[in-house]
Amino acid sequence: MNQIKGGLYALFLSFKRDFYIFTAINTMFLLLALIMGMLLPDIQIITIGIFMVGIFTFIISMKLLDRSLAILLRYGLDRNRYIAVASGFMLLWSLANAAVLFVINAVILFFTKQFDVVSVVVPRLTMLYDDSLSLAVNYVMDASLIFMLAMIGMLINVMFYRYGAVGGYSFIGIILALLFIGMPLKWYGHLIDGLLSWNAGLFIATMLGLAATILAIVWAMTRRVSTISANV
Amino acid sequence: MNINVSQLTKQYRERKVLDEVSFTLNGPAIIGFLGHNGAGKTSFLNILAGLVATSSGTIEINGEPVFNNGELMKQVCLIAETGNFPLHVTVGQVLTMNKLFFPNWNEELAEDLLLQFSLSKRDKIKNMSKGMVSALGIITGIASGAPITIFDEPYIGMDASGRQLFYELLVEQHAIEPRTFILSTHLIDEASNLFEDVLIMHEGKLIIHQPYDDIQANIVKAKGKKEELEAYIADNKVIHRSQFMNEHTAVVMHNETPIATPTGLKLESIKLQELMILLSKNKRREVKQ
Repeated sequence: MNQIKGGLYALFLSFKRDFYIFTAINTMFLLLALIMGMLLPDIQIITIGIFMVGIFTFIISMKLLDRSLAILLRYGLDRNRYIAVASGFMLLWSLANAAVLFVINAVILFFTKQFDVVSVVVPRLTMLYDDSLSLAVNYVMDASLIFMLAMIGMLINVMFYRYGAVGGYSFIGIILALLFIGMPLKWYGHLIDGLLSWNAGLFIATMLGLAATILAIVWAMTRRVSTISANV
Repeated sequence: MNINVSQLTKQYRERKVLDEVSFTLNGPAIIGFLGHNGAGKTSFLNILAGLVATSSGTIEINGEPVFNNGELMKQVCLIAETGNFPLHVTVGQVLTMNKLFFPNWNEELAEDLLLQFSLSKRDKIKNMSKGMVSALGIITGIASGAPITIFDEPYIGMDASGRQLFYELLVEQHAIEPRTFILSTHLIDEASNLFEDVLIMHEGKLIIHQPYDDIQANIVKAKGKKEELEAYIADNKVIHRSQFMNEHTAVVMHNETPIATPTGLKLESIKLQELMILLSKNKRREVKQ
């Protein structure tokens, strides 16, 4: 148990600086959007908090193995425990980032209501289904989406770590190719239709299911991984 | 704790860095793990600490395989040359981490060692000099209380007084609570007096594994005329040969301590450092050929 605690503590220490800096910047941007909305009521302003958090989490999770695997294995963790620690950390990370978004969204919504500012739109995942859903539901949806993105980032990180730049970029290339193929085949129309026909619960369950599947692939790929990255 | 290595091989693509290495280490002891650059020391120590998988062969501690064995690895502490700690943390935070990872962590000793090495808990790793980070590695290793503590070139950037303090601590701690310390170093002259057992790696193979005193007694440099030297070395293993005008020299490893000096030959004991230099010369010669 202490190894898990130690691992989480080490990851917290490794990434807290990034978290603080990003959160400060993101909060400033969102509050700036609110102020601009109040000063310039004729201009429509859409906040992009969840997109920023998603991209940032994706970038951070792509660095996770490089920054922490060697140190934590040296500290005695085996690979299974490392994956448990890394995924546990990313889950906490997702919850923390979603909590920050929750607070900022609540503040922005409070002030827009209080001062009758209609030009500021705060996009929330709950808007996909039911506008009346609470911010708490939105919080869980945000957290599940962020966690799923974190797992994708970890998978890409593992590809780069194990197979070097060639393997990593080839993997990204295949994913992008599949995404492009989807356009003429009209996958996205069906995807969006399907997504909109769900409800919040199904969205959360799907995100967590996808995250768990990707995590299982990451776990399988790190079972014999060494501290020497293929990029070295 | 006993370390049992059997037919251990590690290969990176075409390159074999460890070639069927087999030996047993019985702790507690202070063990010197020596070899020139690229001899396979770090590869072996990484495998021993469970960081890298073997290509073939086995490595066990007290009969348990080391790879992916989290419980066993609580008993092993590896302090490498660099990269032991996250960059954006303070010394105090490293000590907190150590407390969580090492079940036998000695907080009191760690605090005392911080003073001895003049480190402050508020110092940040990324702002510390190489020598200071090395000192923190040494504090971690010594205070970890791990039954197997491995130091792989632990004192990069450390001054002579810091290194001396490290040697003294090693002996002192070993006397207070005997454990297995494995020290890999290139500063052999400084550290050789500490070693009870010495392992010398060469080209991925273990060429010498003997108690330090036996090495001093059994490995000798013999100088003299060719015929007498040939007769002397006979069935013994020759580590290095050279010639200057009519004088032939051979560094010979005896299976047992030689009893008498043959007439016409001059025998000298050889220091570990010199032995390593000769092995490196052999390697360069092989490359040239």
